[in-house]
Amino acid sequence: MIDLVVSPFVEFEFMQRALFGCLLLSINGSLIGVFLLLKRMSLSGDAIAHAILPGAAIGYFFAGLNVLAMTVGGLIAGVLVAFLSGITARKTNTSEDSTLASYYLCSLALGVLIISMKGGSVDLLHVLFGSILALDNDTLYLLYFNSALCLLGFCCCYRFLVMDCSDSVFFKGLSKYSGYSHYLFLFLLVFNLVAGFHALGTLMAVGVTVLPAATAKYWSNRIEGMLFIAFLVAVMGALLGLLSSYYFRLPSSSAIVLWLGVFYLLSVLLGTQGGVLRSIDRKVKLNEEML
Amino acid sequence: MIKFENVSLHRSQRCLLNHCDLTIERGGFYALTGDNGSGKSSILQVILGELAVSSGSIIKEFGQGDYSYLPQKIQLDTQFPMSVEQAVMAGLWNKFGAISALKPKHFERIEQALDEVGIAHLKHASINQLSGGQLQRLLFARMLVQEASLLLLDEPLASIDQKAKNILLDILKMKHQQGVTILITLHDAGLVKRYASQQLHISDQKIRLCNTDFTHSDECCRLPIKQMAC
Repeated sequence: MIDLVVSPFVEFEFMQRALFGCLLLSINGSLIGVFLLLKRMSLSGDAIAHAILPGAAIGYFFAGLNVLAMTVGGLIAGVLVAFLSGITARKTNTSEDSTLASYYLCSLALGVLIISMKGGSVDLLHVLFGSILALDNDTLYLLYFNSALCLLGFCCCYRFLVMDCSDSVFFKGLSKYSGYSHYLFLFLLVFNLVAGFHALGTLMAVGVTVLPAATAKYWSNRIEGMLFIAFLVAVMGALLGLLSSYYFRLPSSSAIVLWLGVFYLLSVLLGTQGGVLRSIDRKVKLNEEML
Repeated sequence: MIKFENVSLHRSQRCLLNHCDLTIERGGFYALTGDNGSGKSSILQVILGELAVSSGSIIKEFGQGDYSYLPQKIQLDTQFPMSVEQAVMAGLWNKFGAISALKPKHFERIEQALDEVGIAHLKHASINQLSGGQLQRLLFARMLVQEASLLLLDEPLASIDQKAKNILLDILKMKHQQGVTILITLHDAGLVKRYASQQLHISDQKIRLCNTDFTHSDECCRLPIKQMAC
């Protein structure tokens, strides 16, 4: 059994690279995902993941499948969409989710248009679903840099984010820098998604960010606990996803996200913090006590 | 400490204040009264700088971190995964900031504040387990550890029982005796009379400084200690 788990990673370098890339993404994904969830922005993460496509596509248009060009392009597009949706919402007194939805849909359509103008369906599939089993050095360096930046950002701004997420009105009265933490968080989110799309593609990158955090919510009622559980879930999902992909010839990014989906569904049922079975059990005990 | 000079204030094209002067002295306990929609919360927002006045000027002798504001609607995310102790800890932000470690004396201060508001036994409970009244007590505890010189409270007693109201108002009275300036919006004339030293009553786009011995009807404000120029 242990051999089945270990041997693909011992024998093949591409599997080692894939696992290492996934571990790096799991660190960032769990940190960012938990705060996305607490800020009630899970769907915004999904929208921004789609919004980076035209930037990456323009990078691809000029430089082919070049990591740096696609990263810079994706970063600019993601930040631009996040910034524009925020400004439009504030200036026109509408909700940010509607402006973000509008901008990301336009952005996604533009991205697909640019890719189809230059490349074929294989290139489009690479951008949409990533290439975790073919991580080159450049992509791994990008993932290293992303992890370092993300950890540094969270070390410096963890308390800012907690304060801002839990009671932004109160925090505004305490610190003149209260608003900046949100923008730093958005930047880290965009950067993480851009780095993630090289490995897992734009469609799946957000999965490793949101699903572990959503799963962790069912097991802990403390933020520290949620962060730890989200990281464990992300690592387990990556490991099982890569193994399933290796043994059953499944698309890797989909397999990873589907395993994360399995953990999520199990947690919905069995979770100690609001899981369905726990709630039913509590109701039954309450009824018995009343009788 | 806070001075409104010839201030007019509009909200959604409705005039709330019309050329009013107002002075809130340091160390006073002011009860802000008036009908629903008369502009009590808006005045607090003007003081906080969240709402711009239509005309006139405001002089504020306090900076960020010198005040604590308790809004009418609880803004604390009650689903946030944190304990009561951690939520109160937020009030100590000016002492520990973004990076410094908390010291034992900080935890003692939190415990003391929770004890003062009567929820020390809930220190390790999650905030999503608290009732509305307990949550309000938590917010008072957070305000206490902050040790601000100006407290702005917007109808903070709406969701709590009489016993808790008395406890929290007694705490405010004690803070007032320690020299803290308090501006609180209240509807209960009995509580205004019992706790506040001065009453600011808003009606007909005017603010009047009244004696708290009077009930807050328009009639009372025809007998002000000091009529504000409106």
